Amino acid sequence: MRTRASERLIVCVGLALMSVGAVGGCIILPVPTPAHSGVGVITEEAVKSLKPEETTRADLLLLFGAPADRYEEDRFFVYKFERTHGYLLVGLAYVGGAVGPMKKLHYLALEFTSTGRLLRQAFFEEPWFGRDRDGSVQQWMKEAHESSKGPDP
Amino acid sequence: MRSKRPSLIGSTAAALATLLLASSCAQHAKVVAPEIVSERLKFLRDGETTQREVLDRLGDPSHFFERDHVVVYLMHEDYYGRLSVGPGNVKENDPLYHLVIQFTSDGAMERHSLIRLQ
Repeated sequence: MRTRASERLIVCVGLALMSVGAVGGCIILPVPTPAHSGVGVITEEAVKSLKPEETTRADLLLLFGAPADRYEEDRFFVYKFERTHGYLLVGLAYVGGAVGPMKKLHYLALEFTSTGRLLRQAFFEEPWFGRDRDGSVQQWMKEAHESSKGPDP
Repeated sequence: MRSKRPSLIGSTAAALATLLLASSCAQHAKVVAPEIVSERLKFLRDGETTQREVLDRLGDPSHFFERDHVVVYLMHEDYYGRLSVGPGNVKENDPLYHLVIQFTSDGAMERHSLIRLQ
């Protein structure tokens, strides 16, 4: 609940600043777009080609390269990449305009069986606000531990 | 106040034009075409090149997986299109790659790929 209250506060302050800026001849306009570009993006389409219980860890490495993080003797791989979710337009009278991308960090988390085959995968994205950026990934790995479908130790 | 409006509209239009340009520059992680790999790393041949040869030519990998049967090299492409191991003096838009090589238990190269990271 704390996060939601802080998010509301940030949005309200942002809107207030945009209103004040507009009165003074300055336009600040966030333009959301579908997540599209970025560096080293792994697309949903690429992941769809992966077959659980068939695709091996080596197959994945050959497809996506080394992961950003690896856990528990490579039971989990986490790939990170940025995607652009929109653009922030700033226009200032007599000065000019500028545009900057609004980027978010995304995660592809993968779990492998004890024989090195893909068990499951999930995409996550960091929240716009808050410090716990990869909290959802950590939670997913924790749930994988608790799941009875997990690989044999 | 009237004179401010055209300037503001112009600024916003310029920003929108930049936005359109920026949104067309999507880039995804992808495996580089095999012929490009063989052109730039000619000594790599599946089923022929040995692990020893790879280590001698490229040095220590950045990452090891699968009990060293899969190794990954971080590679950097310079202005002239030459690939070298390590990040080098990377500028913001310089291409970076992961060269992934899988070896058989006998130490022969089984498969390899070059993945563009940025």
